[in-house]
Amino acid sequence: MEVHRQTCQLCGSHELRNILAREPGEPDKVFVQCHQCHELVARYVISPGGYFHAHKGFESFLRGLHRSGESMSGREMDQGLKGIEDKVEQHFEQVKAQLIKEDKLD
Amino acid sequence: MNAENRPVWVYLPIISTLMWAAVQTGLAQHFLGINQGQAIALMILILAALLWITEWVPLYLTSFVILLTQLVWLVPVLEPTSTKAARAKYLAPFFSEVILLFLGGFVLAAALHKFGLDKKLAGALLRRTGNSPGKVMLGFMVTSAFLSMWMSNTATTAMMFAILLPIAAKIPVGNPFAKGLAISIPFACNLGGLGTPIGTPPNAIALSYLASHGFHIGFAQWMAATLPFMLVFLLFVWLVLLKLYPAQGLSLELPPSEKKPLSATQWLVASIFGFTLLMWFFSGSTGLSVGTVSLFPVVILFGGGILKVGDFKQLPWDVLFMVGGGICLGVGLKQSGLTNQIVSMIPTDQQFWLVLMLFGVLAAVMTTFMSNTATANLLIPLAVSINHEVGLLVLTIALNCSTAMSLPVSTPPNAIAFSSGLLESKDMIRPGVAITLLSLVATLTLGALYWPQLNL
Repeated sequence: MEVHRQTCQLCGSHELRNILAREPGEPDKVFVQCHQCHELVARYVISPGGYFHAHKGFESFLRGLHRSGESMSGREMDQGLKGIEDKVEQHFEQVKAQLIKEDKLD
Repeated sequence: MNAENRPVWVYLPIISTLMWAAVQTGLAQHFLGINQGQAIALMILILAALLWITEWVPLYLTSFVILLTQLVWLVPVLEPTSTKAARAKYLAPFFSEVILLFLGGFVLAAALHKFGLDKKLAGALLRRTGNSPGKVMLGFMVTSAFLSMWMSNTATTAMMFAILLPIAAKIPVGNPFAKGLAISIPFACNLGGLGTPIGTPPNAIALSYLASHGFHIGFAQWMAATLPFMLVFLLFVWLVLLKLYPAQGLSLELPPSEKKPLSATQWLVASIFGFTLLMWFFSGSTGLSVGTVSLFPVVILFGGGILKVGDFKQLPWDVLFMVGGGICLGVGLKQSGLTNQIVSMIPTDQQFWLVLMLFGVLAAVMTTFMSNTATANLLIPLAVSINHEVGLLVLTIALNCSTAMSLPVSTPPNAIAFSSGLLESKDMIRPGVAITLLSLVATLTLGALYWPQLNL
């Protein structure tokens, strides 16, 4: 796994702000703004089913599903929903560990 | 290899080898009294059933396994020259009339959803419910059922739950009505799928097999056959849920919904939806088949730039392939002559009601634990082989595939409701079993009286 800590390319700040933009007929987008110089740092387009809001796993799942359509089996859906919070948290722990290993934290 | 994928790498090769050996050594033919082609078709059926029941591989992938085994194992035995025409029979189900009909339905649903017409309609319907808990529940059920007649049951449940969660959060802890509300949405979505040919994949499978037996059912005719059942089932579920999960004097407050007028694009999408619907209803008089009509929304919505390539990629292709695989399985059973063999093993006229009941019960039991589409894919080809009262048999199976809903794993909408944290698994069992039984009784009695009146 590769991990990168986002930095403002203009002022070098690590203090960033995520702005979530939703509009009808368009995929959700996240604009990353520099908290220091207020310039745009990056933009991400969220894939269907890709949104996750910590401690709101079920709501995140609904939002993702809402945009990606059909599912054929209750068992498959049940398994997808089970432990979604834990799965994302575990992955996040791995990412943090990798950041520390690569000395990319302050 | 981990425990999760062990079946695919260990059990499946062993089972497949045993099946292959049973046919190649002639054991299967000897013990079952069938020829080699029929034995192969039977083995493919067993393999498909195994994969669909266990879900060792994704459900849609089983369709490709069916196609592959038929092309490399069955076709060379049935038609040793393996001509293009011989193979075409097995490929055709993947782009048949019914697949086109579903494709059209999916494209319309994608457009309704993309431009928020589903949410707008839900808001407009819920605005009329008032604050009485019973009426609110009915409002949620009617809205859910109506939307899932045209859209995916799963996507509709997700959307309706997003509306429900803030309302449920205001219900005092311990009030049972919250559970009733949480169950009402998935149940209504499951039932709503019955109402139109595009409501749920088992309907597509049913339509396809009916057409292959000379019953060319139009959009309106399907609705005439299933809508009365859907309405009765909805009413029943509503009453059962109110009885099991009373509101106990609760007054609900619905969040205010937006009353913004429709935009020009929304009007356009709504018009295309209405136009397609009219064309589907009158396909008999226009001379265009429902599959052909379904191409209009595809061409107009994508051609007009209303839907984009990203939307095209997001269509539920897996569902289309799964339906195609089921129909393809039936082609193999028929071509091999295994269906005729089954006919000789089953019933005389006196025993037909027993067979009908058996298929109805099997459909209800199997779909309680496994995918509705997979169940329809397995049972309908076997049922039509009886070649007696095909319409009644197929409709009984199709309806009971969509009405068994007593467990969280019974349907994707149930799984969503269960994961909301508003209810426990046992809360679904009583109303779920009640609707499953009602559906069985209704289809076996009223259906048997009513559907023949519609020439089914």
